[in-house]
Amino acid sequence: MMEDIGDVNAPIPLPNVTSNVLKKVLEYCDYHKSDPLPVASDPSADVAEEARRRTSEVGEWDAKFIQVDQEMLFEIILAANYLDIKPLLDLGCRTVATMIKGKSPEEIRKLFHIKNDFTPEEEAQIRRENEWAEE
Amino acid sequence: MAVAMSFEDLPEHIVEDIFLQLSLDDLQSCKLINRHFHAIVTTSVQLLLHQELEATAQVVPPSVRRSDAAASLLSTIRERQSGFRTIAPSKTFRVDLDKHERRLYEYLEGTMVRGSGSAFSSTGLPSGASVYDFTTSSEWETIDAYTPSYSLSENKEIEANAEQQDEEEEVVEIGEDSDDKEQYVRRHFDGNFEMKDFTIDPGQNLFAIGEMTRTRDPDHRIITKNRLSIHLKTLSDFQPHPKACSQDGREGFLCNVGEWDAGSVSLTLQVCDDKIFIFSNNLGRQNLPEARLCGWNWRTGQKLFEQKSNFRIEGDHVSLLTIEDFVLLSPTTYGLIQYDIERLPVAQGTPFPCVLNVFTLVANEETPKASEADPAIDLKRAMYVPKKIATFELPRWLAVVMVHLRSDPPPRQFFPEENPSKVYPNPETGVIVIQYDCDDGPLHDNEIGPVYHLFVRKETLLSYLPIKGSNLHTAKELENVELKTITWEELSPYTRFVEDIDRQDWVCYVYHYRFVSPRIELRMGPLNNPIEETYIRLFNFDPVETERLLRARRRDLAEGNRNWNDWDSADLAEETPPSDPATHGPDHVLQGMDERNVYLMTDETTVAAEGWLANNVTTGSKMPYIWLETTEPRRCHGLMIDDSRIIAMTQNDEHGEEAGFSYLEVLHMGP
Repeated sequence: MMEDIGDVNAPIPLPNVTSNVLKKVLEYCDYHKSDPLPVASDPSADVAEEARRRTSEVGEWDAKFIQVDQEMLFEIILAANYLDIKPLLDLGCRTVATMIKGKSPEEIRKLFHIKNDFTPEEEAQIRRENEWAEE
Repeated sequence: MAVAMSFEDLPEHIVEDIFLQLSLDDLQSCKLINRHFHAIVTTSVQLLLHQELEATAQVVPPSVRRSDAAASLLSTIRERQSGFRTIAPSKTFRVDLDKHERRLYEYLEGTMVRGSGSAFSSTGLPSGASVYDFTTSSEWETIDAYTPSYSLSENKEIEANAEQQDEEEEVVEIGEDSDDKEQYVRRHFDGNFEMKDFTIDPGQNLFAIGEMTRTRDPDHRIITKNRLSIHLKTLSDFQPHPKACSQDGREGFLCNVGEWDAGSVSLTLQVCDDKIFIFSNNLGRQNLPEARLCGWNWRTGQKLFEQKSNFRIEGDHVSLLTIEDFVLLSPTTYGLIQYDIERLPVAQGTPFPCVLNVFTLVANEETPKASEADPAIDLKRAMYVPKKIATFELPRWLAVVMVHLRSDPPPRQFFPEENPSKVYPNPETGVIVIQYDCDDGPLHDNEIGPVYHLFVRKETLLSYLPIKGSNLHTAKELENVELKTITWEELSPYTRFVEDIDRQDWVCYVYHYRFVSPRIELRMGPLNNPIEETYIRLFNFDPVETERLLRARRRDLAEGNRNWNDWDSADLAEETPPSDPATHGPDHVLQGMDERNVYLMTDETTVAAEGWLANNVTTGSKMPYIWLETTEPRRCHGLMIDDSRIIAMTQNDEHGEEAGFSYLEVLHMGP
């Protein structure tokens, strides 16, 4: 990536990342700096990728690291996306997914402070579709 | 930052990534959060594909996911799924079989292998094999009759025979440049050795054949030992498999993987990824039954584990722990059907406890690493030891009945390397068939008894295991894991006994959640002569598919357009109790057969204790299922199935030596 930029001493612009978030991201990168890089041409990478997807286990350090408030969590996800740090983006997405799992729509709305903008008729209609989902 | 960052502010592709990790139920909840999230769940092609894969318990190989657009995968999966909702094949294709084909056979995902060639006189075992490839036949035109004339075999006898057939029968050419295509239909392999059993994995281009050789005592020239070796060939051209181990100076050859006392040995081979499982049953010299399950890595030639039945004589009594059959729940976890009998002979009327014991492989820490000095010895030392982690109680029997376990495909962790399919069954799902064959039990005077099929889903068994069955565990991890016992009372609602399935010789009748069987109906002909008519019956134990049908019927009932009737055929009289709303829940009115010949079964099934079963057995309250049947009878005597076709085999009318299957018909169920 760095070669593309040209002058390696030039600062990297980070318009969307605040310093608090950047600190967290750097903490993550520092801890994981010696992790092996995935090799794209290795066919076993597919298997490893699949295995990783299937096991929902998150490392102990990662689990502790991602115990942050919601706002920080979404900031980290955005920063990881912007900086293209795949494992961190993944960790963030999994964390949000875990927060959603097993909750009712109302519980999800409450958790993330989301306003319900359905009319009661629309909501009833979707519930019926869910109930009789055929395809 | 003026406005706090929230869930709704995340870009859509990130929300997609988050939702891709959720189950169907959770996604239903997400649809109801608000309009924004509803739109994402119902319009993102990635998420629609994810929901379809979850619903059908299937997975897409990563290489296919990279090369194929989600939208095209989605439509492929939907079309395939709908292909099995009725038995109305989109194409049929007929293949005549060789006259010299033997009973030994194997079928997986479009490839069939049958024993062929001249039989060895002493054992009747085939000396060769015919490999049929139906994966390309969907591109061919439908034809009425076809006799292949092309053969790769050097076996003159078979070729001569094929030519003779050409003269006798009408040959219908298929499509254009048929010569190219014909060679894919059938290839002959002339092994010139006794094929005790074989197994295939088309995804790895692997054809593994078990050869049994007898060792004679040099002094007395009597047979003392049976030795098993495995030939590891390619399915495409019968060359030594390039990834296979080489031993004994031979390429693609796994030598001496089993040794038995002289006597008859029955053998079953199964491949799962880089492992080959060998199950044998032997009546040795002292007539002591010895069953054995072992596993080898066919790529390295390393022995993985071995487990034997246990026959103990203590004073005047005998105790017995048999191994009747095995099923793979994951590449490292398997189930064994075992009779566990403390004392033989048992008192009259005492039920025989028959259980499904589940074992997982644990690293054998006493095994030293393979040394360069003498690798051969280390290869034969088992790398793992089996540890029993769960016991599932099953119905008890008044006699030892023969029990077989069937399930397909094997729970592979690696996707096929060559021409992978678009989708594969999720390896942790599917139905397992436990077949109880009450052939002449000791209490029943050689009378042929009934055959029962008990169905249970793999995921049901996996959910009871004290550990996740899909991973390899260390001994330390399993140190505090206690053996779990699941009582029959607890398990039975999640199983399903089906009585009226005929005894079948052909056993590739299960694939993922589906099971096929021919059903024979006797009808009186015009001259009061009985006429046998055969129908193809397809059972579907897919929980989501069943739930969908249940909901569709519930909706139809609510809307007042009920279009199904309770099945009133005499065939099912015992299985389906008469309609009585007082004793049946509301679901009872939802079951029965609709105009498409699709039957929904929601009632429990009770099998009475008559003769073989020790107690009345009630199953299925938590396992509704679907079955359907062809409306027209068709000639068929055996059926095989995979994810896109049903293959019907038809016997000829010959007797004696010439009797056997004469042709098969490939029914393409997909688009």
